[in-house]
Amino acid sequence: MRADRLRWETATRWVAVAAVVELGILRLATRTIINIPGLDVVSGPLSVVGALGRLAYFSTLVLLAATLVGLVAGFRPTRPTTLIAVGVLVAVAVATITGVGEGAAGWLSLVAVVCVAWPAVGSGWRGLPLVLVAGAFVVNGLAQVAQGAGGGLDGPTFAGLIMVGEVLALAALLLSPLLVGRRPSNRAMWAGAVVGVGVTVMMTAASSMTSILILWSFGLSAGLAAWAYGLAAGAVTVTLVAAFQRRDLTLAAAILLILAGGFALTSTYQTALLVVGLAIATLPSPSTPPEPLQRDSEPHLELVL
Amino acid sequence: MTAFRRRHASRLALVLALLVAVALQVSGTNPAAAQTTVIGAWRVTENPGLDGTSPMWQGLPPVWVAMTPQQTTPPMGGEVGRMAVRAVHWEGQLFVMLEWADPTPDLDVSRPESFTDAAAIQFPAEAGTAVPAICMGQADGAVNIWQWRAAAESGFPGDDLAAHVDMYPSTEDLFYPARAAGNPMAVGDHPVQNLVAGGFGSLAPVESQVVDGHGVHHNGTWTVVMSRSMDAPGELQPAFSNQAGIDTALAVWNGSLGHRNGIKSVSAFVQLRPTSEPPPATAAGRNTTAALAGVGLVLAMVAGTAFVGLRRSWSRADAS
Repeated sequence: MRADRLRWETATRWVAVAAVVELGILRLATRTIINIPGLDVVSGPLSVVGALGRLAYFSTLVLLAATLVGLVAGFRPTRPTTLIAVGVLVAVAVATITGVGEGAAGWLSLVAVVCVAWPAVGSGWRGLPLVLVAGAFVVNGLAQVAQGAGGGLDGPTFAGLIMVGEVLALAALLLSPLLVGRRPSNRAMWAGAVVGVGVTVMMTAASSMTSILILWSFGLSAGLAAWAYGLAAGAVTVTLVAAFQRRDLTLAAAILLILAGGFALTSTYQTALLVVGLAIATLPSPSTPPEPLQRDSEPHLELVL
Repeated sequence: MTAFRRRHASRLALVLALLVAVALQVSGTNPAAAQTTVIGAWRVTENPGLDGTSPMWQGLPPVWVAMTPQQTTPPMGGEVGRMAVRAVHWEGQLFVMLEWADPTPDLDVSRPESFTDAAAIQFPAEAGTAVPAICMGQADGAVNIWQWRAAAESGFPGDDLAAHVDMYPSTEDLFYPARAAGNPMAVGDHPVQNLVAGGFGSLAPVESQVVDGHGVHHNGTWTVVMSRSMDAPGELQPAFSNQAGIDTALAVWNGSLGHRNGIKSVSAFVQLRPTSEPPPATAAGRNTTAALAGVGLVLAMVAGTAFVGLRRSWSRADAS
């Protein structure tokens, strides 16, 4: 394996680890813990955990910026669509910080995601989950940006967009094992079954917070049947375990970044996570690529971090 | 570069990234920004009034906000899937109109099993601060809630008196201790309660009940307008300033479905943004074609990718 590729994989791994820590602490744990009564006695340790979560958030931001630079500067030849996606993402960040052209920031975010997922379009089964991820984000985002601040959608169209976005997101997760390119091991299947049943039970049980956490953390309304979310969670677990078993840590990092980014237009931070996740997921696997994903010439990395 | 130097360079880069992250955290500098739904509060030149069915209100295109059942803390529930929101400001007064489908107006709360229709808007108690916990805020991040109740607006109407075995004099305070004690839940002189909360179990009315409101049930739809001065009327009640967005969450209860307390539909935080611009002139639905075109593009991308996959599978099957 080339040394520069090794360094790049290490960098993306660190982004994924930081994003997962942030997701686990800030978006899942603290939102759950706040509802448990009588926790004042451990408020000190909890505030330390919260501070660690915020550190993970800011670390992810810094590492994301470095990875985005790597996406532009590190690949030869650079994919035009990736260049456009990163450029548009920078424009979105500038617009939301300065307020100049802020009204277009939502539309531009959708453009960035379409651009970065474009190499997967027409690439066959392995690219299908990635196209579905981008599609879910775009359709959910359309329900938001097509309204603008002054309306602009009728009610049935709004509800229809939310539903189509939800179905596309679940389809992306269900088909995510296609990313691995071969039959998953029994161990991966068992892990998926356990997680799938667990999520279904959590969503079915009345005392669960699962639905609201799914909405806040992943941008899904959780309005469909509980078993659909259980199947989706199980399938993506199969994919993750299979990727780890194949030591394809780049694919595992990409999946984790996509999950941390979510399927709805929430913040520039989460959009950047999704863009980076899709960008590295559309790269060919370094070990055993079952199908070439990119339609243009194969890039290789020269420098990241 | 040797492997040793490369390893050290990677570690150095990681340490540098951590140092920058710590600096951002300590300085409170967040380069990321929220991209939530924005509801414009447009400047109008005439008093919009509190009747949401008026041509002025119905002429404004709504911003749709997705609602989900409240599932954070028991009791849980809620069935309203979406709410239409419109907002304007006139001579320093903010007006927010909520509209949602509800086939039955539920005004009667005279029986233990009867519950009123209601809707609420929640803001951080202080504009511009960090977003508080969406469920009633938190100890260091209170929220200000405006709750409109259909029963309060109609003066708490009861069942037909003939249905009661005992004919109380009914009107004297002696028989209405909560009302006599000034409990705002029972007084019924104001359709909108102005409330403050700093966590679960801390919801309480503000002394100055300065939020006006009026609801109309028409053709299976509630339209409720709530209004308050844009200046902060007191502690823990935010000021609304031009061009500055404020985080806003919505809730709605359907009384005939047994909704009360935590059994309600809630939204995530969206942004309410007062602006000096007039309302958009075009009608609702103007971007529907663009949205449907976007969906068509997405479905074409998905279908094209799946088709290539199928074709390759068939080719392999033919070859074998």
